[in-house]
Amino acid sequence: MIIKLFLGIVIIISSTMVGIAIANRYAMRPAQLRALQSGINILQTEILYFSSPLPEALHKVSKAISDDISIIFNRASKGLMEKKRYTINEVWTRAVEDSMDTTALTEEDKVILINFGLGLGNSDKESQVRHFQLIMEQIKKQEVKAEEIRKKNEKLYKSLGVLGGMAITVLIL
Amino acid sequence: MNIDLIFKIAAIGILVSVLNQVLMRAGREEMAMMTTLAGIVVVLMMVINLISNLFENVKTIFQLY
Repeated sequence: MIIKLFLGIVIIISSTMVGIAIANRYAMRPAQLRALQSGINILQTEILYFSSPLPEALHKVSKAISDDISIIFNRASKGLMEKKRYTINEVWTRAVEDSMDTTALTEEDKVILINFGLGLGNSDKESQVRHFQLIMEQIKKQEVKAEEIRKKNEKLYKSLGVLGGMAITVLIL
Repeated sequence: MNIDLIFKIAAIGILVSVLNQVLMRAGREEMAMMTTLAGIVVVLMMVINLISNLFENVKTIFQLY
């Protein structure tokens, strides 16, 4: 009897944690998109006013923003500093694709980010500004969308975890 | 025949109704429908033996072989 009780508690706790983990993924995405926006803002300042070269600028950005997103900038900056004759496009695309697993970003965000890399560092300052603005706008839209999705799903998955655990416990014990 | 089964079914009923409410509130009507159906099926699996027992008993009592 006591063993059954113990097992039931274990099942409920673990499924609750699964629910919270899934809910966290939805909570992470808007935060990471916001971090991405501030990162791109910093990069814009670096390029416009300090005129620092891209590897340095990317490195500075990666130090200024939160961990999950800074991986992308960090990888890109390292890729450029190694000087293996890759273009910024290739390095950026690779950095984004390698970092997809550790961030909460989706395919749509990935496409926007890769597009961002395509226009990076291949024109004069004015068209760079336009490019930055375009990308910022797109990311902002994604953030609004992500926020909506979060509102819809976060609570749902939390309570679904607890209730699912209870259901499993009742069924098998 | 033990009384536990009744409590088990009652617990499933409560859980399914709460799940239903949660899913409805989140705007997932079709998933709420599916959980309700799943609950019905699970409970049916539990009681189907008892129901068949009941029919057997009725048959024996009235000698309908």
